[in-house]
Amino acid sequence: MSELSSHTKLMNTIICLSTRSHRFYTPVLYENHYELETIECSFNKIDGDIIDADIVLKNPELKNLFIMECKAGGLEKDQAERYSTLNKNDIVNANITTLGGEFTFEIAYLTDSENKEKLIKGINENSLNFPIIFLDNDKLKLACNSINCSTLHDLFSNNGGITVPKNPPLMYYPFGKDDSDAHILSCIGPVLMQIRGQEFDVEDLLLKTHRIYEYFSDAAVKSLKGRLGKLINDLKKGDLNEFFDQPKSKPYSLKDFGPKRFQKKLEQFIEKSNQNPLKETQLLLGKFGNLGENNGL
Amino acid sequence: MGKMPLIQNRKELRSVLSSALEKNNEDDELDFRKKIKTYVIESNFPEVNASSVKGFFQIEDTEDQSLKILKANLSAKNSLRFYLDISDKRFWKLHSLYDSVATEDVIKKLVEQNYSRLDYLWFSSNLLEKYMGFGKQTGFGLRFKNKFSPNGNDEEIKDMTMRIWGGGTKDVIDNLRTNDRLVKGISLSSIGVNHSVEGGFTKENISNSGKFTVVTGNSVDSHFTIVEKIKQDYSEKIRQIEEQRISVEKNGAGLKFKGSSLFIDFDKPLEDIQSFTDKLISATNPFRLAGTKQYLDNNHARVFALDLHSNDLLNLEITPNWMSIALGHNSCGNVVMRLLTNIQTHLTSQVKLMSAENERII
Repeated sequence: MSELSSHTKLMNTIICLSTRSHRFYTPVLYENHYELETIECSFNKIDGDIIDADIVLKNPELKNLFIMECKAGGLEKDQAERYSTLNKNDIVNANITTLGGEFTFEIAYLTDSENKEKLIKGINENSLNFPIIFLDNDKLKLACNSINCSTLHDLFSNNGGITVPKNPPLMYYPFGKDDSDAHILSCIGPVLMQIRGQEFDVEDLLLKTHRIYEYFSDAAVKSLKGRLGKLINDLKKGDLNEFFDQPKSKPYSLKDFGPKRFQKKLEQFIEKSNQNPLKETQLLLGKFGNLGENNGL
Repeated sequence: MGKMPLIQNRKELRSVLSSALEKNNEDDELDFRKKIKTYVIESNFPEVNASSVKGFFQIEDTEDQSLKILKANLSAKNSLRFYLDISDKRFWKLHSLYDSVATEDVIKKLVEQNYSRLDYLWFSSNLLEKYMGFGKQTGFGLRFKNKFSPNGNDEEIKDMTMRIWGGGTKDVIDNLRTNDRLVKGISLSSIGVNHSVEGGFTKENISNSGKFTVVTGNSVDSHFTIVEKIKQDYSEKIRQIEEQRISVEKNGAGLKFKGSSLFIDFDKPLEDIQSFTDKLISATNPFRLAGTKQYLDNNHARVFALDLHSNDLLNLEITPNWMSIALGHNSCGNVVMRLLTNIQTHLTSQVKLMSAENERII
């Protein structure tokens, strides 16, 4: 079984709660008029600092923008400082919302139960007052501080928080750079079958797997490309070598193969990855952030 | 087997099929092999030209841009010609005067090869029952073959076929459904309809894969009309399904998220999710899907799939009571009909296609 990374799980949980996309989950945020505005959004503040927000929700009725930063670790002081000095003029100037006229905004950190205490400690040590929302089994709840918008505050505080699906659908954000090799390969496997007989680069794969890839921030694009490039190289050098051809113009080329054998080999490769989850790719990523160079970019 | 006469336009097509219909009536009414047949085929080709179909096939023009001749070169000595009406580019109508065996062989080769971008129409039982209302009911066929029953469960109905000719067939179907054990197998494979237009009628046998056989009659216009009516109804269902394709567009400074999953509800819990999932993505008929799977727990699978008919991507989730389908932004909606109809034939007849808003589509 390939577990999702905390980041991917949190992203999809919020997406699922803020879009009308599934019959068996109540999109609580959407029903309270908080709709998904954008994800993986990067913009410059007027002072030149860069903000890379993971998810932005908007509430056209309350004229409120809700910016969320997913954290699978402790507080990053520089990033927190940039968020703490973000003002409305920065948002208007960056043109990142469809909310017109007067609006309010707030920022919250989103994390899981494992990283909650680390994040609270970081917030307290730096005398910040960002609310922290954390995923605790099937509930998304407020861990510390308060949210200015009373609707949001009540949703995340009352009744033990918002009930969330155990396995959110992955329609808009199937994987991120922190996901396991097995999970990413599962997502891109059908795409490789689809583009058999063609040359491709990692961007082609991302365009087909991530529906909002074109709107991703440069940082998100770079890290995803690096991760994927390394994985494709592993496939090419390893057990799926027989399906690769000599490329002419793009970094990779696939032979025109039939689906059955490829599917079987890929399944075996994924199974192997599941047995050795901490592959070199992830260890290197932990150290160096991304592996864009020399990986088919 | 005689050749089909050469035609150049719709007038000649109508004339050839009218003459064939007269001859049709001389044959045994229940021997479908020699009857006029029209196959409605779902196509994902944006344009239809000589290079649209590969392998044994060639497409030749007539005077009429929307009427083609499909030539099937099955061997050096055996070349068959069919009339191909492409006035609706999404749903082709292929008319055949050849016997069933030869025609079925050609249709299979045309449609079932991987990435053909052609597919059958898939009429679920509910749709066929609706189409019974387009004329007077004259019979029905049932076919159920359980491919997903766990080994050793002897209580389950494994295989069921039935064919009834005569009036009041809807009542017979309703009566069969009152039997708790039989109800699971009431999966219609064909219906018989006596359809009339001004000046004549045809008795049609309509299969759940979009094959229309003229059993008898005196008006080829009646045949054309019922084929068109059903095609239009099916086309509307596909439009409803494709409206739910998942897509994202730029909306000023933000993004607009469109579409949602569709759901197939099973009336009876699926007992073995793993075996169901394996068969679903085995890259074979009838599902024609390949892909990768993840088991989130014993009762929940996630599938990233490729439709081998259209070469489109889709995501599935499978639980004991329902299956969700999220179509990619360009994906062909016919895969949903294929899944629904084949689940009905091979798992349980009692299935529903539902929207994310909990409204029944089929």
